[in-house]
Amino acid sequence: MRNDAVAVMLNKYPLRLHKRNWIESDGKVAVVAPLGEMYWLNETGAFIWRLCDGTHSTKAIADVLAEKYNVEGDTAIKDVLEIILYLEKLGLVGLQ
Amino acid sequence: MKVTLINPYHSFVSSPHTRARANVIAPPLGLATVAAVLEKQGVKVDIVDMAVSERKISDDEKLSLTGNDAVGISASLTTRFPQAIAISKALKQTDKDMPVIFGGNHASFTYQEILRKYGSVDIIVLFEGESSMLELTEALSGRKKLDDVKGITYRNKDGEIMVTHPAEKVTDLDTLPMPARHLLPMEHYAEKGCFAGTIVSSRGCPYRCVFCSTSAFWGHKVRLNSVERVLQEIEYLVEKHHLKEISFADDIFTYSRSRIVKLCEMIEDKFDIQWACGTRVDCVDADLLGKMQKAGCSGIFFGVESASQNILDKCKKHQTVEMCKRAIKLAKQVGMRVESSFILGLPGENNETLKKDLDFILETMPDRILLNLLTPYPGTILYERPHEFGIRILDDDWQYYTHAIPSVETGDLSWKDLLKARASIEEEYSKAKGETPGESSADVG
Repeated sequence: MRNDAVAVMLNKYPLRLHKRNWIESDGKVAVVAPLGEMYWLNETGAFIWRLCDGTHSTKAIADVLAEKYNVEGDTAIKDVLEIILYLEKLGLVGLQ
Repeated sequence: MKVTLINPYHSFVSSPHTRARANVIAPPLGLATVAAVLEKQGVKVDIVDMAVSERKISDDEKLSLTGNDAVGISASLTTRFPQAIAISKALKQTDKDMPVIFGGNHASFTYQEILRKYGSVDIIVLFEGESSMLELTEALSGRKKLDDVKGITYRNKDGEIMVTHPAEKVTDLDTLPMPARHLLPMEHYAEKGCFAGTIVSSRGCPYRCVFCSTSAFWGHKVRLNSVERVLQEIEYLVEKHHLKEISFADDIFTYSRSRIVKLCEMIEDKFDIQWACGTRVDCVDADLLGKMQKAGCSGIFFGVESASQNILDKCKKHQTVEMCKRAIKLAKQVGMRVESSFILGLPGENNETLKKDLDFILETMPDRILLNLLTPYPGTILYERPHEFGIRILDDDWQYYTHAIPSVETGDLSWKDLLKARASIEEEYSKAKGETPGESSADVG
């Protein structure tokens, strides 16, 4: 992803598009896409998913992730962008 | 007279998964049949399939279709209704006088709400639409009065909603021309990984399952195309489009055993194709399934819906759990790929009945299961009288009426319980099939 595109993305606020398409079970998160596929999010995915509430920017999510897992800022940004773009493609989150 | 018929985009078709795509994109045969009827009477017709072209209309868009006298928009599928409305608004932005006509299941069952809420919709064709659309083109050409057109509803000059006399259903389906597939981008369906070779060879259902609107829309009397006519359609798809796979999209394909026996003999004799169909569990037997398999039927779909007899009875499904087990077993024995659907959240659903579903699935092991969450579509008894069945409808955001996102709760189960049940059954089924979780569901993160 180009630097300017990354900058735009970091200022977006990811928001889960539906309030009734996910559950937590034994610490794991399962999300159902509108056409029926079910996705189990791993620990990092679940952590990011919970923060996609429209009040955290992508940058803020990456900062929290970096702190929680004690990883470099750039690594956290890369992980967060990858997951959020994938979730957006699946129709699970919108970017405000 | 020139009419354009539009099949709206499905909001969630951008899913990268072929299975999901294939479920929502198929040639719109209903529109194509209306088109064929109009063409036969000299009306110029175009079909724009925005589903296959993945053309989504945004809220503030303007849409221009030049040279048209009217536009018909399919509002059959509830999930596509928001896009149908977006198209109607976009059209009115550029030409406010262009008559915009809606038709199909969803529009027929919610016509009052549509005409009250949306000024961009002028006329709605109610239920089976071929004859009404033809009469409408006469009315729009000034050769007939609008209130003489049977089977429509519209707002009059005073804004009142008028409903005309019901149109008569087509009694002999063979009198309808074949769907105007030449107006569809047939090659694109295959490119998108979807079935291009679909045929509908019957209309109507004698049952009144509380979760289904088929009989309310098409009627309780089953009408069938003749074997000759079905063969003609197969031949067209094989010769013209070089298709080797056909999918019969009938609700109860094997409703008439004698028709299917004859059809199988003729298919075996004339074609080298693989085909699939859906039917009821009480409309098959070992001998029939054997004949079907010999004629190329490689896949069959059964709507089991529940493994609880109490639920099946409450839903007026008129089938037994034992019948379901037997049908799946017999179909597998002859070598067919069996798909079975289940509806989670039906009246009377609780943890015990969900366990029965899981046990049934693990015992019968269909090749594929569809775990649908109860979705109370307009036109169903459950939509009309949910309280009578202990169902609470959570919202009417139509775009999410996809069977995947919970739209109801039962007396015993919350929407979270239903979603958990789906996840858990799917997981157990995958394990039993020897699949890793990633094969049936993605591991993201």
